[in-house]
Amino acid sequence: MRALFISVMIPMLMLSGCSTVKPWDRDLLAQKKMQLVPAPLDNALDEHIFFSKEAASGGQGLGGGGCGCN
Amino acid sequence: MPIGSRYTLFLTALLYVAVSQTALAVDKARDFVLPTDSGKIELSQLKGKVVYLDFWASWCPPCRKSFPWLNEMQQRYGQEGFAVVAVNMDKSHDLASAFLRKFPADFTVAYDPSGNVAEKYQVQGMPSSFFIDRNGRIRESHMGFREEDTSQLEDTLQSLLMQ
Amino acid sequence: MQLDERSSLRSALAAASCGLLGISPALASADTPDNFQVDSALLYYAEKDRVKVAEFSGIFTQTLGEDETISLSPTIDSITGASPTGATSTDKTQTFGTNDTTPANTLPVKHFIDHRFAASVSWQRPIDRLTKTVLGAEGSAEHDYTSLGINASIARDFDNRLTTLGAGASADFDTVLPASGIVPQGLAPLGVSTNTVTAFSTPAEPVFKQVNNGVVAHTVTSASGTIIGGGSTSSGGLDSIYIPHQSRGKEVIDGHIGLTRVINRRTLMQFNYGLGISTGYLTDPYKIISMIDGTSGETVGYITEQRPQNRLRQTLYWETVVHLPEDVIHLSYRYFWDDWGIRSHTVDVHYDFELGHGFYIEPQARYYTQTAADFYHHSLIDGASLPDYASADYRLAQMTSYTYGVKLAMPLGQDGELSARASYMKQTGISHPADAIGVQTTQDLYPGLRAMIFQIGISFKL
Repeated sequence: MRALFISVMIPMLMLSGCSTVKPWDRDLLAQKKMQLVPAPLDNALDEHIFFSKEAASGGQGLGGGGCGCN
Repeated sequence: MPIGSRYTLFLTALLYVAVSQTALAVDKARDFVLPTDSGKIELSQLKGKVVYLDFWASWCPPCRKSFPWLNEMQQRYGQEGFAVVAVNMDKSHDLASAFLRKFPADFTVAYDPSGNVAEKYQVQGMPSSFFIDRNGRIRESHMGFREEDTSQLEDTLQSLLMQ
Repeated sequence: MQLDERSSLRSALAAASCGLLGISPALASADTPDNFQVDSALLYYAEKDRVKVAEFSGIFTQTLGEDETISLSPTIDSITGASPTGATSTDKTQTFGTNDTTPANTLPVKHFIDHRFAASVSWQRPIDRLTKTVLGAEGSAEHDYTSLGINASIARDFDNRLTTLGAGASADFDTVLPASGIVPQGLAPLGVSTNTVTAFSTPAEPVFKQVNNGVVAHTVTSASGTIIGGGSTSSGGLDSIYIPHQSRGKEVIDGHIGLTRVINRRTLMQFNYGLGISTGYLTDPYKIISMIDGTSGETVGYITEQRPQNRLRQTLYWETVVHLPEDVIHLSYRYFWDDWGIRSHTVDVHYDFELGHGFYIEPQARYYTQTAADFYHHSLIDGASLPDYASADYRLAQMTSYTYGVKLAMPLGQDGELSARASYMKQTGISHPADAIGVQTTQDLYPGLRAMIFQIGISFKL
């Protein structure tokens, strides 16, 4: 139940709060180091190790952020 | 429907279409003054020319791709009264300069780091471009830059030059 | 005894978790590679006294068109060393098979050598201006395990690309082929004798018997003594030899939905929910459990483990990226829970110290903790009724893990990077549980794990 509550609250909080980021203000977000997974290979290698040594797995998702161009 | 009501409906529709057309027709390009590398530029001074107003930034990959095409258009149609005004949105002039050293511009580059002019033009995405005709009216706006759209853009350019 | 550790090492790919979708760098990047992007790394993983892995992995991405890319990612592993069998140490020597001896007060391990080959392919393309999709497939193979899987995902931008909604699913089909050729019966006892504790090295041993008149017959018996295979050879040569070649299948389906949101000019956040279902043979065919005398705590025998035939897993994942005046911080938290009774928390932080001109140093820290699976037992009492499921695999026990690392990177040419990483990982668990009996109280029932990880990486565009 707590998980359900968190699953609803966090997305709502994320979506609320007027995110007034203008398209030309995405200079920082456009940088590679500002991606959710800036080094995909490092990430894959790490997840591989942790998965094989632990009971838990997964979690990460798809893209978003970035320069928002085109 | 009685004849009278249909007539009214038709007139209303006609009026709506007429107004919407004129609304487009009176969509004047908002004037601005921005610094350039050689002084400054005032948009109203370019009246009589067809202007391609482009908002770009060094961190925007499609903007990088647009520069060679913009150079080509400026060179090809400059004499016929075509002017590219590329407004840079970088927060730091140095970033724009570094970019221009790698991708030189043979057209006017203006600087709007505070975003005031972009705000005036309600820029929704990077890059954004506006075709402004010889009478200073915005005729077309585009969001983004794609290689596959360049021939269509050039067609618009040519038709505006002929007006 | 090859499966143990690596059953999960390769399962990482087999599970086709969301992390794999990160293999396509273009999905999140601001810069679609102009032509051909190469990302490669060499990794060396070494546990103290245990498993060692040398690995090469790469991601090769080719731009096909506007926002369209195809990626190929091969991985080659060489795995050696020893991994715990699940049996606990005791105050006497333990002998497994004919010459596999574990000294007193030492964790029983099994040595192995294996190689793994894996490859995944990922095709990303836009559907319309705001929507992109990824289709992928992967496969891996090693001596006793093969895996094939497919995955698909979709992401759409909203609100002038300030919000992204994503969803994905994957399906994997794995086959376990134990090296002995036998898939052992679960919770079945291994052979025992007294004084020193002796067990068969694998739950079933091929047994060669002279039958009569020079005809040699051989039988393969399961742990419970039933003959499960066999054949015969005439004295002149070999004919119709039966070689057991048992295998079991496993299916893993995963799905996730996620929300990414630009919070402000410097902050990006993502929140995901994931659901996974695994069915089939989820047991480790090599792992055993020590049977303990209820009074003395002495090891009197061993049985094979048995896990349920299905598992339902869920995750909630939250990540935030913040651009500080010069540096960037990545912080993530994951909550995991499943129907095996395991709950875990993971907190991960990366701090990118920008040194200028493309140089950076990035310390990393990770904290992980999990509760034990319902059917985890460090050992079982001999004579007590057996549970339906039981495993002594240390990865299903209550455990905490700390990982500390640092990455150094320098630019290479126009768009490339050269990097080196080093990390230290330490796992600890309950070494002296409250229910330890007699001799067990003198033993470390969860020795834990310590590992060093070294990696060098290179990336460039052609």
